[in-house]
Amino acid sequence: MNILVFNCGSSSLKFRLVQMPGDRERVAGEAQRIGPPTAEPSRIVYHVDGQPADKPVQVPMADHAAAFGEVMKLLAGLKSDGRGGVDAIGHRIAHGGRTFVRHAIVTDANLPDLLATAELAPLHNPPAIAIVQECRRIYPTLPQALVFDTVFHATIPPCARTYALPAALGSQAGLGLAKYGFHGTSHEYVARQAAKMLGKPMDQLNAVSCHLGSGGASLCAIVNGKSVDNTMGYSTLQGLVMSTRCGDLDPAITLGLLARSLGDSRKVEPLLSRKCGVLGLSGRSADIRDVLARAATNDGTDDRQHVAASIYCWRIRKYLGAYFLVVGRPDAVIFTDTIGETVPAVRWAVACDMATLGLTIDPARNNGATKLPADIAAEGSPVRALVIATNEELSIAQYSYALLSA
Amino acid sequence: MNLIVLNPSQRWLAYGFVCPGDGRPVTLGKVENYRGRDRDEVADDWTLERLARTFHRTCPDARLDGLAIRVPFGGSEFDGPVIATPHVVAKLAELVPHAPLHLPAVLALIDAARISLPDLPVALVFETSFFVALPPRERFYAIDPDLLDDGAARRYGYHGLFHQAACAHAAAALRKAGANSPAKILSICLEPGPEVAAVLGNSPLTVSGGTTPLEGLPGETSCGEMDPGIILDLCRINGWGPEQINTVLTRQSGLLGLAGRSVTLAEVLTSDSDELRLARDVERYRILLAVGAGIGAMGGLDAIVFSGRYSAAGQSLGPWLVERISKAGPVVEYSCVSSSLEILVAAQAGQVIEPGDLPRPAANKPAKGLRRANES
Repeated sequence: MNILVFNCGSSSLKFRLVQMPGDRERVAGEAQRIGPPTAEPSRIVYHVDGQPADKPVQVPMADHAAAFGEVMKLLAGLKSDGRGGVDAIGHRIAHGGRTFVRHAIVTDANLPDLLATAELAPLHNPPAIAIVQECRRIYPTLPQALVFDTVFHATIPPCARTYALPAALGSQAGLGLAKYGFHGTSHEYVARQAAKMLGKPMDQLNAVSCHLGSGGASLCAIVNGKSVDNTMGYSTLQGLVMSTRCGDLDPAITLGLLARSLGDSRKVEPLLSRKCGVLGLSGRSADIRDVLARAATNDGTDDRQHVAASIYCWRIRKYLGAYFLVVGRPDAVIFTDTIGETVPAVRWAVACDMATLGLTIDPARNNGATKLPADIAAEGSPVRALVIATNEELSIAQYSYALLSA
Repeated sequence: MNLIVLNPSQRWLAYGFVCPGDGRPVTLGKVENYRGRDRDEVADDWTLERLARTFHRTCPDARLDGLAIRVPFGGSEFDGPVIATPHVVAKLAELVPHAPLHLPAVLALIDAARISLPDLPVALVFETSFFVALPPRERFYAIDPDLLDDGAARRYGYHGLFHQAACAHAAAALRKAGANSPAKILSICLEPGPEVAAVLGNSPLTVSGGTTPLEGLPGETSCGEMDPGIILDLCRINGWGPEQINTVLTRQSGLLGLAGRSVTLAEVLTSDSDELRLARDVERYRILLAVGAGIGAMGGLDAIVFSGRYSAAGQSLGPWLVERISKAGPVVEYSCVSSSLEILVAAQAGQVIEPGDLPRPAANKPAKGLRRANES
């Protein structure tokens, strides 16, 4: 069975064609820089049977619908070569709200519930749902699986899930004011990989997973293979400092912005989503790698870069300490996604000097961790530090296959 | 050193007579409705004079050395107690927009003291001073300063007096036990708006209170940490304005919201009733997170100390917390320090008031405790 997977990011569309069972990736690619023109052109980079394409497809993609159309054209061309047949489709949906506590096959019956989740994650859900609908139009007979980021976090207990708000607000229909948690597909995938590396069954794994992406980022506390907390909350704004998202803020700051915009939340949401985080702190770049590089070569004229880098790392470090106590003694701390996998300086800043909690990073292993997965903890460190490449698309394919085989 | 300590709030003026030299216990009281109709004056110029007379009746042998006012907010300006000189008062007046509910009352008291008790020095003791030098990585939020009206939002911390005294107490105990290196202390202030701080030596590295007391742990009526998306959706979906949301988050949330009735922090932490289970579980869990964050920040932990008016509730929370921490590694003990806020204020005021002190002349240079403009 060939499963076509779509993973809609805020400015990207990743796709995979995976042959199941066996996890064989036939086609893997990503439409990049979707949206308004940037310094570099929109393009689709891809591999076929593990071989990179000769050159990326460079084509304007003003939105996800355009990107989807271009990806489908590419796949149609590959199909004519006999390599692109599709038997089922799997979609990553960031937010399943209260309705979707399990991954699901999309049907006429649950489509309205899916549409209702659009506003819960305005950056991610609307384009993903649009692709679901377009796929239903193009492939009316193909089964389509919905794999939700929030499902892994459905096990977060009430003490961590509940905000200290009036009960009437917490139960108000249409609001659903509770912690949902995000990046669940990635956290669960790397946790399974970690369990394999440590030779433990997943249902006995205790870990803190650090999904540090170039855009979004979150930490997840995992006890016996289940999520018990996530730094993101009701929305994807809470928690760590992200590329352009604010992370934790004093409520009075948000209220101040709201007052300044005369109570128009539509004007404040883009500020907190797109103008804060690393970009807001550095004033120059939304990419922590740029900020770290500038901070390292700082001649004293731009202390803002140093402060931005220190705030980014400090927030992760504090949550790491917090989740150590939530988990008890974790078997491992896991670093994943772009920053977690490729920036040793961040891993060191957030996890050095943690011997009191059982974790000692080996500096040489940390700096040398280019071939993944890698264990960068020192010999004898009771808590291991694992750098594991995430693969949300493969995970989505596995879930989709499991749903279709059930 | 004999002082009248004043702790102004919205509705009343709490006072204490502190005469530590004569072994007399602190005398405490409250003056109701002490503020004038326009809220920026003391209703009656005689209020402080009457308090001084009561002081002399209560402590007939004591000479009154000064007034000490607890000030909830001193911004980044005041890193210690100061005498209320005209220069200091002008600086404080500039901070009113940041604490519009609290600072006008303080300024009104200073003014009333100038009229009623002109010969007495007035010391100002700030809750925020202990946290003025928080490292920038803890101090700032991930937001572009240009988006904010005043160009900056920083974390202040709001129970500095309790934290500072409790940490000094815990550090002394550790030194007595033979510890040499700077103590790594988790200070948990159990007030109606509780607060956790991680303090290395005498330097705070983290504090759960934010740019306002709303952030951090849930209070008896305040929400604590809140996803910004919730605030936006209360506006977008419920159609609420910022003032209405602020009222809900400040006065109707926290333990009141979770328990469904008015309840104190102490009751929540010490009760084992099912009715309060959710409130207790949420509050303890948030404290656990703040403690873990502090351990991560300090890279270790030597002691936990509880303070605040509900410090005794630390006897219930302490064993649970110590057990959870020990599962992750550190084995520590906790202590509960019961301090009178009035005595803490008086002790700090004693650093700037000399016995028999006279009012300081207007100074053009910054007073001790007032940070220079170029200090950050």
